[in-house]
Amino acid sequence: MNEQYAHAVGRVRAKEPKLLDNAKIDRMAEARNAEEVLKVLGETEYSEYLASLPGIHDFDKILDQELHRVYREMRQLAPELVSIFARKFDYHNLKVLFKSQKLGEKRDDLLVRDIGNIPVDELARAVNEDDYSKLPLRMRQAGRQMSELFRLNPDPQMTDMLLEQAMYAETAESLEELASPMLKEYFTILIDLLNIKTYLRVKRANRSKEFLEQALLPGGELEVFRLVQLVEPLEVLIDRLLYSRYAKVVEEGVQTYQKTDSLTRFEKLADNFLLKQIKQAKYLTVGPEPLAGYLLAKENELKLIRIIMVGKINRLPTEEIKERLRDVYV
Amino acid sequence: MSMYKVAVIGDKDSILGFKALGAVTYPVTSVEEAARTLNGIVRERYAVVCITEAVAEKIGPQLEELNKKKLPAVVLIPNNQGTLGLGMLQIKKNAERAIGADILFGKEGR
Repeated sequence: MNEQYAHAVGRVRAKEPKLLDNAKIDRMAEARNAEEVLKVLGETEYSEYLASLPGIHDFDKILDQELHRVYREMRQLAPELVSIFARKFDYHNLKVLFKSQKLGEKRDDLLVRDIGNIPVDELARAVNEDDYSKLPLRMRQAGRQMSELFRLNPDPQMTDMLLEQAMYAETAESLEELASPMLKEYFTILIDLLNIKTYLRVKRANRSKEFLEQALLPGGELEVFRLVQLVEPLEVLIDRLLYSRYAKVVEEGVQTYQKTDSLTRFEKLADNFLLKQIKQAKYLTVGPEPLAGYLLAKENELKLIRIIMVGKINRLPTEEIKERLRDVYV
Repeated sequence: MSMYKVAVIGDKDSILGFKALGAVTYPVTSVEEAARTLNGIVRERYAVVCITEAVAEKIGPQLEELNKKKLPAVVLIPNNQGTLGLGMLQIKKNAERAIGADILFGKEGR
């Protein structure tokens, strides 16, 4: 089973040294302005995209090109594995297509092309003809359901929730097939952390228990959401979670949220927690994990560059930018 | 009858939030782009145009022209870097023009 990844892992090991390390990220964060950030990027594997860049405000194009390159190369090495991580693009596209059709607006600029598992045209046809029968099982079910519910009650939030639920259910099924305890664990943690955030936001929005149940994703291991009532003070949830492995994230992240009303800190801590989990893959020499590690390391790297560029363009103080940065994989 | 719309012009990160309120956002990054965008907006059915002070500062003459028209009303807003004081200055000027005295900031007949 694992031999099929032997060649792929070798290829990934050769790419890992090109990932941006802490020193490079620090230099970018400390650069005087956005132009200088791009100069530092010019010393890395991003240099090939810089020549055709019109200006700093188009930095998105660099990140986009790199994301496409990484997914294209990785898909050749391990198609089944990459399809799990690329699924988010399919669901994103379906959301965009469905909502823009209902709004009667063309929002093709929001579509992510040539990177998901399902061609955009195929998704567009399903939405336009209101026929989801050719899509994968979970997506088909969710598509039919959202289409029907929307007729009764045009609530775009319901669309989002249905599709998210379907996506994570589909992911769980793929993970069963892949049989990688480490990746399964990764998604369990991801879902738990997302659910904690969902809980905080639903509580803040004063929504009902029924709404919370629709919004929570399946596949996590935390049970507290069913035990703690929304009307109880936040401390009750925090106390309960202090006995889970998320104690540190919750203690610092949720308490900062209580004080500042901002989830920024929590999101950063959650990202770092996930990265730490996936970092174990660096020490494995076979299996799909190192490939997933590289893919996630890249997504994390792109996020870091985005935080720095947006910060520099908006003239945020270096300290504030650094505070938002996540750890790196290497 | 179609409803009048609200437009917001400025740097992307300052104005994106207005989208959630139903305004039409026009992110611009250069003076030329701002001038061209404003020209286009004037020809459409907009009742209010919000412009960040940082952008407005650079297309002052064009805005002066627009201020003589009834619609759209031009409103200056701060960007995410804070205010330049231009918005308040504009309100003061408008008040003076309307009633001949600055009743807002209390410096009568100056």
